[in-house]
Amino acid sequence: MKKILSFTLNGEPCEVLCEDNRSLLDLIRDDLGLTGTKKGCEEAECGACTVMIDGRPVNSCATLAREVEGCEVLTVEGLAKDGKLTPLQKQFIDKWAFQCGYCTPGMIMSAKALLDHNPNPTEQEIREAIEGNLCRCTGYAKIVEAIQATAAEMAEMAAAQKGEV
Amino acid sequence: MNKFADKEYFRKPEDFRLISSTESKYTHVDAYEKVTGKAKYAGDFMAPNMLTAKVLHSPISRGRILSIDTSKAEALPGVKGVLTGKDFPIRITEDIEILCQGQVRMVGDPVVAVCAISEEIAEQALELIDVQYEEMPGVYDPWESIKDGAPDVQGYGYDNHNIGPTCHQQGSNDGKDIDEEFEKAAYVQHEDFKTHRIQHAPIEPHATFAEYDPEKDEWTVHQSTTMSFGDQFWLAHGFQKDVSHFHIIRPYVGGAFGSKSNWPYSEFIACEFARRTLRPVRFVQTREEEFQTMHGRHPFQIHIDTAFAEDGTILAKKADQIMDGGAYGVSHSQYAAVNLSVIWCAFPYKIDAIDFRSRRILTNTAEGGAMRGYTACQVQFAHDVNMQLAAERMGIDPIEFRKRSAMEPGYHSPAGLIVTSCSFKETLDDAAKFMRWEERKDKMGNGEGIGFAGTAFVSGTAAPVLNTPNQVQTNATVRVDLHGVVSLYSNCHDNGQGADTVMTAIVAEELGLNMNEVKLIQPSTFDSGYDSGAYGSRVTFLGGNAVRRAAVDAKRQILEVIGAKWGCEPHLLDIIDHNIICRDMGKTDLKMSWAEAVYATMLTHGGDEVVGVGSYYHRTNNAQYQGKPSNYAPSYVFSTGACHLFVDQETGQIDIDEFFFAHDCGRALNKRAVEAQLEGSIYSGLGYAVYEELKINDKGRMMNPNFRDYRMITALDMPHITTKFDYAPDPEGPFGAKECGEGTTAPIAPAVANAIHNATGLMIHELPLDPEHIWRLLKEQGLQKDHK
Amino acid sequence: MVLPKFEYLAPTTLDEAMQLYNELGSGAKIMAGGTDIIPPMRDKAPGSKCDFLIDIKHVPGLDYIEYDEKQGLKIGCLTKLYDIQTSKLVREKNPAVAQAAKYVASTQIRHKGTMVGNICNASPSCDTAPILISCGAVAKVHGRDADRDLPLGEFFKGVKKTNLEPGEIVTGLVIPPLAEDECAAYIKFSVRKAMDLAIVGVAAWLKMDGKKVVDARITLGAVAITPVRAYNAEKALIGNEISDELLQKVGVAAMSDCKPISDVRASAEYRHDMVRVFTKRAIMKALEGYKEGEI
Repeated sequence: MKKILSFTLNGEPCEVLCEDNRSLLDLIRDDLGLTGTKKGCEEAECGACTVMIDGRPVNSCATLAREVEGCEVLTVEGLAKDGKLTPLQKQFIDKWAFQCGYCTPGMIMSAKALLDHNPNPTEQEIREAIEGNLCRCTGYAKIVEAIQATAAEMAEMAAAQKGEV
Repeated sequence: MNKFADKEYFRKPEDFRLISSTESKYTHVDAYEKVTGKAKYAGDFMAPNMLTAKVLHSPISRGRILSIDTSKAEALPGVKGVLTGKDFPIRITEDIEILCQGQVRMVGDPVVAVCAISEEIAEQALELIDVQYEEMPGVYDPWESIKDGAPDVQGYGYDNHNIGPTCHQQGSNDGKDIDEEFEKAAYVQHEDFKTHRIQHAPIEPHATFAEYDPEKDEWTVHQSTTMSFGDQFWLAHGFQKDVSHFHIIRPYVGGAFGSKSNWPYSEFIACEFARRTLRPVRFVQTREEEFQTMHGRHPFQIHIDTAFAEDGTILAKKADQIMDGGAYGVSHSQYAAVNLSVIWCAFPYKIDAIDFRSRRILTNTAEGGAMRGYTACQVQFAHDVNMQLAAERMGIDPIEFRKRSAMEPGYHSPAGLIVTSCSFKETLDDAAKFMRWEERKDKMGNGEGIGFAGTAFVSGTAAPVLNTPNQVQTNATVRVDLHGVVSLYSNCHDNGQGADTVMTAIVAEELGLNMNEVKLIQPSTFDSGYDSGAYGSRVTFLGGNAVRRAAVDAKRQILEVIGAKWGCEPHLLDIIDHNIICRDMGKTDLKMSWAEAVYATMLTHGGDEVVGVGSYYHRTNNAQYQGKPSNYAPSYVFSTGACHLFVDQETGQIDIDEFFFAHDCGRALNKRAVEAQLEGSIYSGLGYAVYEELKINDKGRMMNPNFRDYRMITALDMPHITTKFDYAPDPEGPFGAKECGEGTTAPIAPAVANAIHNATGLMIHELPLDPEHIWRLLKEQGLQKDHK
Repeated sequence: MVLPKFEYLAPTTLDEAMQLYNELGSGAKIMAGGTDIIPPMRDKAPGSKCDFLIDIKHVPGLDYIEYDEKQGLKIGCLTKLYDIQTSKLVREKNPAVAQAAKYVASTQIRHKGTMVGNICNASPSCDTAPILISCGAVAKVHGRDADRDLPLGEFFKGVKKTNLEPGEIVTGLVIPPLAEDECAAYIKFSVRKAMDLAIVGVAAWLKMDGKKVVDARITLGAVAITPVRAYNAEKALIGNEISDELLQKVGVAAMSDCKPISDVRASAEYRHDMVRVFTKRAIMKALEGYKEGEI
């Protein structure tokens, strides 16, 4: 039986009818049409379906839609604001951190969760943050570089802001 | 413009603005869409009344289908159709049935298809289908398979003893006799090697979104493909229609690595359901289906005999290679497997007398197929480790040893291969230098090792797959509208490697425009010209040459008009930064804007738009398939991989400290992209060398068709990588470019194997080099403490 | 692939959860993070099916990490593995527990999955069980009629089977404090550095008197149907001074403490020998301790 599910999706309230056995991934993609979140394995192994729930990166394929009742869910579509890409997205472009792009949304979400918690991560911490995001194209080097560059850029921005104050 | 275009109009290297720029002046044309989630892949297409298709697969490796009862499934509310083998009476590529018709030949063979209003109902329907089989003994080892009395793998009644395509190539330069060469050799080496089964496993599974228009009798198919004209051709064949009925659209493709140059059963099934129901049908393959049915890398068994002269140069080589082809592939598409695996034996060394044979054997296991470096990873692993062992036994430094026989520009191999640009020796030197080999080679402790491997690959496979006039592989069109806006119609298949970006850059470079002023028309089989696909490392070289010619054809038309106005030779004009400029002495101050020049050209031509056409081919014949010499590709690339590692002598686990890769890809069109391809190649090669293996049990069942137990490298496992790729431009490649990113996977496994050998003294003849394998070798052979 | 049908229930108090769990009987499953429940259910793996899924994550008061000098570390059943891994308190009081938490699957899984869920799943290769057993941890079990403490050493019954009675819920874990003279470590051996299941996992807890081992508890993972104590190894260790020879002996003794199987990940023979290797290494690691920032 379908029941109403209420949560916040990319900053906006969302109410949707959903079955108990619906995964968050299928809800986002097939019911809500946000296909930026990708399906790669459906067994919580590839990370292409990574979204953020209340600030934490999780595999949406291993999450029931019902679990996000009252939660804030952020997908890749919720990153760019007012037509502006986030520094992380821009660095992914500049550093050539993707090829086919299929793992990219999940990768960016994992990277965002890391930088939100830890704005100045070591390379090891970056690699740990994306250990659950399999990329079949890049060998990860440029992804790590993009995340490092984002951290540096954000630190610079923060320092500049401080300076202004 | 065709291959023999008037090259006078080509942009000169000193004028390059985008190509090979040291800064990252141009980025992916699809960047915004890919970082925002807007990029649509085939499985992202949906429609409100869409149906979902699913397939029931064979649980056994060989058997007869006694009965199929689909009545319960058909009665399930929401089910809109059921298909079995009898609905697809036509075989694809000779031996492939869309749904099995009476016999199954491997676990995972598709048997029944359903479509329903939801994925859930489709899956429930599968559970209601009852298929009865009579199980028959299967054969899972190629040597067993070719024995007298072995089960007939396919059961079609072919009199082939389970032996599929075979390629046997013998030849020599300067009338040399191979037996005599072996007789006069200072050292003859006999070695055997074995490689394992792996899978491409792109993160995006194969997906089809099919719609049907009954008025036009026309299908529109969004397909995750790297060979859309192949899809079109085989769908047409499957439905017994001509190709005009199939509009194949290639959306973004989430990685392929060879797996999407096929025509999966899923697209036929989706198309048939779309026709029957008049509703859009989506079929996204599951990860298990990907592993079981999307033909991964062939396992090989290789025997090599090599004759060396006193100084270590190779006099002659013989190789006998068999590959486990799995249950299918007796037809032409698999000739490439045997043919290429013979070519790799001839690379990257000068070998004047050769005798190479490859056979593809059928077994009741998952079909093998093209995967990134088609058969090169297996063959060149064996042949490079063979070189390493010989170097050591002959007491010659491994770098020096390889250099003594290394191919050079101008070498003609008895295999028919003609080497044009070649910087192989330079790549070897650079690798030795980077690893500080001379300084360190005698100073490493036990468990520490450095290994090198040298390999080569084709740059632009000759075969266009389908018959085309003049064996043309790519037709491209560049259209300039009255405002000077340029549209590029190109089907060069982008699967993530950046083809769309590089083709756009080529046009922008030739026409002196910015990237965003060149509009790439999202490709489909009806929107733009023929391109045979992203396989055989042909896109940049062959496609790039075709696109460049289309751009230059448009450019020539404009320069001819402006040249006439200015009274000077048109080829002395060029377009730099949106301006036509003149290099005719005394007229160098002449200048006209791009928009003005385009308008003037149209005016001169009675208002006709400027349209440039380009095509390119590398012509060979099928001689190679019969084992006769033939120059397979217009150019070849050469690589050296080098690895510094430590071996844990208790566990067998390796720790790679540093990986260096030198690749002769001519002139890099985009340095970031080339670097990224090389990093990806090392990732892919390391996965093959150490981590990934698809295991088949004694019933032919795949033991680990999932991401949990099929170990794909994580970000934590990748070593530090350094790359080098600034070598001589190729005379024929677009702007001097050659292949990058496919054959570059080949030197990784032998470099790792040679490094482990260097570290421990272990003799390595088999992949993968996972900890348990090394541990076993350490137990069997013992640590060769004094090996250094 | 779609999940089979079930009814999802989200009680907001422990009493409500208990009532549901006891009323609904064997068709009901308790879920916290769900990361070990949802993927197997989709695969229709044996034992994965259920009619009711009782999600307890909305029950307040079960997400905590506390320390008390007497009882030691206390971890709630809703406490996520990521929070345990990164907890300053856990890293300070028993870093091996933080390390074990970090070994589980991936960052995403650890942001959702819990340590209690990890042990209740009762996989033979469970990454957090060996260290909990070695450290003498206890599961706080809440039953319909009574609560009880179930030592982790007695928690596991078989593959995916525990000694919890029907209707019992684990509400938390208590890990005794490490005294000055005690130390512990856990090492997981896998081919990949993340996302992999253990070929073997070895936890060592030691009580030392200078170089002499006064007491020891060694636990092996992934080499039997449940995590197992290496009693022979412990016997070889206790009362002796640490030396290379002793460690060799202890490693060999540990091999007789396990019954590994061959599967797609490793052969029994290899696992056996790796028990020898990693028993030594786990003991050495326990003695060496964890450095700041190592985990």
